[in-house]
Amino acid sequence: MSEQLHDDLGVTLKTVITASIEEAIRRGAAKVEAEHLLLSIAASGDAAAQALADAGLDYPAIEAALQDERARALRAAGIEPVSDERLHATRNSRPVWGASIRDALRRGDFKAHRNRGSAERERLAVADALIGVLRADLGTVPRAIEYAGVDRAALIARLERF
Amino acid sequence: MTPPPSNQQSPDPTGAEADDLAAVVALRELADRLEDAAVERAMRAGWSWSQVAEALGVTRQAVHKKHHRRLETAGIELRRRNV
Repeated sequence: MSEQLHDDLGVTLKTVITASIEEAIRRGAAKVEAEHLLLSIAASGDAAAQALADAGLDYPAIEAALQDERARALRAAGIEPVSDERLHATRNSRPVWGASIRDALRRGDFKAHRNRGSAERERLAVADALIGVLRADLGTVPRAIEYAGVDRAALIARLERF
Repeated sequence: MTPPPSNQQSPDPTGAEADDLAAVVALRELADRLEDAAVERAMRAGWSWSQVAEALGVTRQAVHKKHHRRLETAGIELRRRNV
């Protein structure tokens, strides 16, 4: 299912995107969304992950922020979060691509580096994808980042200087 | 309805409208996960596909199509009689 999504994105980013599918499966998600890509980028060991960590968004912090976002969203509807134990289920091993991860990869900064050499594009690919994730102004990721108290625009600006 | 404001500025991602829309996302996700867990629990307890479908208010075909592969992976001995 992944081929159409990342045909020209390079080996490093492909690995990170494949890991995002695992993130979605582990969370019992029916769709792979931008937040799963954010998590797999944070776990990648790439320079982009270091930029996230420097901003206060290492992997555990992102997990916590995403959980906080969902809890707040449910409370907005008067629902208390349900315990993970009650939600335990065998995972769907074939989640489909969600709209937000497609949007993130469309918004990524890949074109900005089209004239650079392939090694340089490869070096920047994960950071470019992260910029795409962070450029979403609405939805789960910007909400989680705002609740975490992190300056999304400053983080994008830093990544654009890579 | 009043037309939306003409400026191109993005709305506040944690404003009142965004909160309601995020609640929809969170509820859908919660409903999906609760359905996966509840169907699996019922099947482990020996319910048939037809019983699960009736309890969910959907057709047997719909519930089977949605959960069959996942529960087979789980190694649940699916009841084929009393369907």
